[in-house]
Amino acid sequence: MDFFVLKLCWKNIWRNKRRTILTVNAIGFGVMALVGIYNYYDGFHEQVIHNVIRYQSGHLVVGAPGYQTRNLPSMYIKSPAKVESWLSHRPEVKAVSERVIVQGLVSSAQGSANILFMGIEPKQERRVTRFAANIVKGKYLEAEKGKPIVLGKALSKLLKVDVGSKVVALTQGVDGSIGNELFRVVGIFETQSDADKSLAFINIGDARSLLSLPPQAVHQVSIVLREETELDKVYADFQSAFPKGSHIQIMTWQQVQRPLMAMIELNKSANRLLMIIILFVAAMGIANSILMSIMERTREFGVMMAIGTLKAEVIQMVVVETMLLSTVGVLLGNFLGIAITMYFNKHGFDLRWLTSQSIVVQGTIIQTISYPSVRWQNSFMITTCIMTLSLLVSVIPIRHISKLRAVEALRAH
Amino acid sequence: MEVISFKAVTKDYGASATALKEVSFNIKQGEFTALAGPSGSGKSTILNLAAGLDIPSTGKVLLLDKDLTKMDGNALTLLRRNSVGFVFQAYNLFPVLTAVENVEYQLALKGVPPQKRKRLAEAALEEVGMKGLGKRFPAQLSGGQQQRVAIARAIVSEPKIVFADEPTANLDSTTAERLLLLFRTLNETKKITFLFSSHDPMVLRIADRILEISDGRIKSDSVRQIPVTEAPGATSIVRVPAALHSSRRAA
Repeated sequence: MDFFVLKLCWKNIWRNKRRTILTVNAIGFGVMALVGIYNYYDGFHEQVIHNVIRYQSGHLVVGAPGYQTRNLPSMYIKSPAKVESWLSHRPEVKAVSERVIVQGLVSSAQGSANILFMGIEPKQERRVTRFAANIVKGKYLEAEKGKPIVLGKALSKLLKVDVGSKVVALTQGVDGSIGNELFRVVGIFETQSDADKSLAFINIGDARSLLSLPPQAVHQVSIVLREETELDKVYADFQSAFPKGSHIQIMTWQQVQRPLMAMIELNKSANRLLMIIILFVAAMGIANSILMSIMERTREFGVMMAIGTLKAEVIQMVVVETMLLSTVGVLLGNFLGIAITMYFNKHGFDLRWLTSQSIVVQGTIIQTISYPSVRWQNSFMITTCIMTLSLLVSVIPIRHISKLRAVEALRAH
Repeated sequence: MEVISFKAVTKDYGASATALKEVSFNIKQGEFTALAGPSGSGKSTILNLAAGLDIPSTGKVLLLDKDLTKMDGNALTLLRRNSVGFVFQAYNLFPVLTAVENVEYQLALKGVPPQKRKRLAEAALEEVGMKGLGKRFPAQLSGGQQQRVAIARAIVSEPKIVFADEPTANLDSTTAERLLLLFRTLNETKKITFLFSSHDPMVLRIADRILEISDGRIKSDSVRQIPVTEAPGATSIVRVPAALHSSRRAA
């Protein structure tokens, strides 16, 4: 029955304008909310992951087997030269930073704190993490003598020290000796995360000295790739090059940041639950609208059948009406959802009005301001769900029409 | 050629309600027949059975030589689509479609291409005196105009037979008379068989043949004896029993 049916269906759904507008708005609002929320969370998760990669682990972390879970100072790579050489020949690798990590006490004349000393090669680290860009006072670490140290802002307040002040680091070496060094504060950084009160950067040589480690020893080699899509390939190749017996282990950032990944998964599950609730409400709206519509038109269906319309054609018409109604709602919802996403992509969506404190997961800052981006796959997924649901809801009118007899329908009022 | 044939048709609604009892009659092609009788006599039941909208409890109904009792729902619907037109008491136009679209609907069912469909629909509207009103919706038309659109819809696909259930019941006498003349003209020019149910005296005056139904049985079957064109305004019409009329014609 070609375009004529489509025209008839379109006219039919607008018979009761108020009801149709209410239903379309219900679907549209639901789709808008889902598109907006999914786009927001995708942007948010991407931002969190980006922070983890650029402030902590990088894409990949190499260390002695078990170091990432146990963090024992005695678990170090004795000769990282082979790893350095292998990495230097990989075009996918953008930057590498070797680290010696020391747990210890830092103290000043005014106070003390248990912190993590991150021993780094400043030039390497600049290319891996972004702490250098977060210096708020003084300067970032340089490979200079005189035992420089860079502290977080919260830590400097706790110790009541400033640039130029001296602090003492105290730790236990791997040989059981007590490491004790005097450091001079050269810079203070601020990231608004746990790192501000629990992290300090020192030169890698000074860290080895504190722990009485051999000259080449490193705890961690952090790797940043040019493209994240190359992660699996580099990971697999590394494992082939350094099998289990080599006493070197590589981990992806997902493996290192399991709690964070769990949080993201939890968020996604909550989103899925929200989607089910919204879809259910939308389905009820569609079902109500279509059911009311067909109940009012029983006599008309009788006329249609009497003048030669097959039941299958009447059913087809009602299903098309249901799909058209949903399509209008879905288009409206996607348009609004995408428009809102684009607005917040430009201006940012700040959750500070909902939360009174910064959110930190495993030392990773979760910024309250997020920049959602348009994800067509979200719109596609939500649209598919609504349209599938509309088809399922069509079962209600299909059942009603299947039972209709023209002679009885003609008597309906 | 007989287009409708009832053979000992009985229709029961449950054990206690019998709408038709052993009804038998034949209607030939081109006949203009009215089913007369009071409300509840069984007129509408005969129309429903003749059109295949309902099935008899016992007996046989033949429409265009097809035994309706042996056909399934889809086959009956397709038979109506291709060979039958309907005119209802309450017009039953689709309110969301314009007059011309209402007529087009019947052609769309048959798969007529859009351009031809529109041309035929407009021609049918012109034929029933609705030229220039095709773009109006049913709510913008008077009862008589709506019934004309319904007639255009019924005849546009050139059916062999048109069933009309109390087609003038909701119309004033002048409009009803004009519509009846229209039916008559269509009957004569297009050779369409018409079967009405009505208790409107004007319909009964214009019909060639009247089957009077009472308590589910055919009480009388009579045929007009004066030219049709004189009928609408006539105050009395001489009729003879159908059987006698047939034998005279045969002679």
